[in-house]
Amino acid sequence: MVWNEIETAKREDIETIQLKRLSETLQRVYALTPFYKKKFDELGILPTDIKSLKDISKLPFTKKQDLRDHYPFGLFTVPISQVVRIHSSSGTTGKPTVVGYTKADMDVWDEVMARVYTMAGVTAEDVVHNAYGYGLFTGGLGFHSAAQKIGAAVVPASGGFTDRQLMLMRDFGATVLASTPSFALHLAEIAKKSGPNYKDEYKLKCGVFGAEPVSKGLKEEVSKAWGIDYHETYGLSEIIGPGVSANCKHSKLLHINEDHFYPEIIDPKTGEVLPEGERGELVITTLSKQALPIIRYRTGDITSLTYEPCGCGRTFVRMESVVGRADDMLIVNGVNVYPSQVEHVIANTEGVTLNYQIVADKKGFLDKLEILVEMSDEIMSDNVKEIEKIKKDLQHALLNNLYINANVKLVEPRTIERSMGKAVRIVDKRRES
Amino acid sequence: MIKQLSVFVEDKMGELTRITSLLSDNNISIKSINLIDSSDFGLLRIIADDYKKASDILSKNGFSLTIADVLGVEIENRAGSFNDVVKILSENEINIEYLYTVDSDTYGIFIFKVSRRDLKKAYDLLKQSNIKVLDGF
Repeated sequence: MVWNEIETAKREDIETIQLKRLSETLQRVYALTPFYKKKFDELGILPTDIKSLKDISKLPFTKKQDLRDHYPFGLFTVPISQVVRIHSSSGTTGKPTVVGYTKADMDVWDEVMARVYTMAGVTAEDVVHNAYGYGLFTGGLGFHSAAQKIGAAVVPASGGFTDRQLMLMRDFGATVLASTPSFALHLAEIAKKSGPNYKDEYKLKCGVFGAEPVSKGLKEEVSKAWGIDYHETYGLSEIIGPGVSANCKHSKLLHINEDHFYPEIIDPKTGEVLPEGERGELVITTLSKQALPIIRYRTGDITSLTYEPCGCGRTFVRMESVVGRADDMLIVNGVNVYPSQVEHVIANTEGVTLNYQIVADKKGFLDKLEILVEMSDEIMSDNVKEIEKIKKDLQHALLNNLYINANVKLVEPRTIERSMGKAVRIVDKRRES
Repeated sequence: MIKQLSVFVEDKMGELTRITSLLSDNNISIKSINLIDSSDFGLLRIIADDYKKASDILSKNGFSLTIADVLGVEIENRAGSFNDVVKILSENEINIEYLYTVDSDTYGIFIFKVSRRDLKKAYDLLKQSNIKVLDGF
């Protein structure tokens, strides 16, 4: 089943819509956002110069830093009276990225997420157990609202409380699980404790997973642990939240909702657009967003595109499941963490030196983050309580500023691994296992 | 007053031997040693015959440490003798942060830490009360 017939439209019809919407978006940002007007003027481009979709490569990129620099509403193209929802990602000390939605934007979000659910076979008959975190993170509410739109019964479980979540899944007869893949595995681990036939207690038929990069092996593990179909959705709050793309039942590649989000793949070093099939950084231009239209947003995610027809009948371009990052961003239990943010927090903690290392690992199926910080004579004390206070203060600051639960481990001076004299800042043990 | 070294030790195999070997190889005699463990690290408090040399060697070998002035008192081997010391301090509102003992055949030796603010006052008070306050080993 297909939610909207546009998903199966002919290529030229899709492109006609894309070009029309692109022109409107360009007019809009040029007229209403000083940031874009300045960028276009510097390049000597007018919105009317973009006559074909190929011309998009003449436009300037937008980076995450641009959103931070215009905190909070500097890139919005509508007055706050037209904004109906604001979401925000974690930031360092007080400079998160903020995104806003008008009523029409919310309708687009529901529309694309309804397509995602439909690709997974979710209908009004289903009970959707939504274990994405509710709050500033777009996961919880993004999955919630569209589930209601298609008429499914949604259980807003949010994160944590594993035992209680399992009870609700059994008692309410959840047929669809919406969560991060690592949380789905964590739930399965606990569910297994009730015996080898634990799956019989649940009615799950599929899961809609996202917010984390995931290996083929991990997908199979989730699928097997619950005996369900694995459906992946990709998204990011700067573009809309979850719902940018998702895979159907015929393919592991993710159909991009390209009538709303125009994708390109570029070489992250040169910025050149790469041909179909080549791997590079995904760049997205929003085609219908009102509150926060974004031109050529550098997602930092490495993937490739294919325009080959899909067995499901959808003609929308498909992307590979993200294979890596163009920068050093880590994703820990669905939360984006940049080492520079961690460094910022450490630098602001009194007495602590910047000799640190971030170690990402797995504890069971959940991610675990450990921050090693070298001791120094300045913070050394003959009192255990004082040393422990430094550790606790740092943990507290990381949780408050970056929303991450990290264990801070103090280590002896000069013990953090150096590579060619330069300290190794990130060790990701999750990939090795 | 006595100089006490506090050395940060990670909770891993062989760390204690590294420290004791360094001291022994440099002919430094340990007068008192006391390991406090926390969730994932340890704090080793050492009183050595030559604290300067000990601190130089440990620092040079990459250990993080701090030096603190602590008080040491020698007391008779009888019930209530340490109580006499504690009473003097508590009557003068001086708080003991931590304390430990050092073995001796005939006497008992207590090492304890008070805040830097109270250090001189505590030292003088104990001296005036005819308590044997140590100035080293």
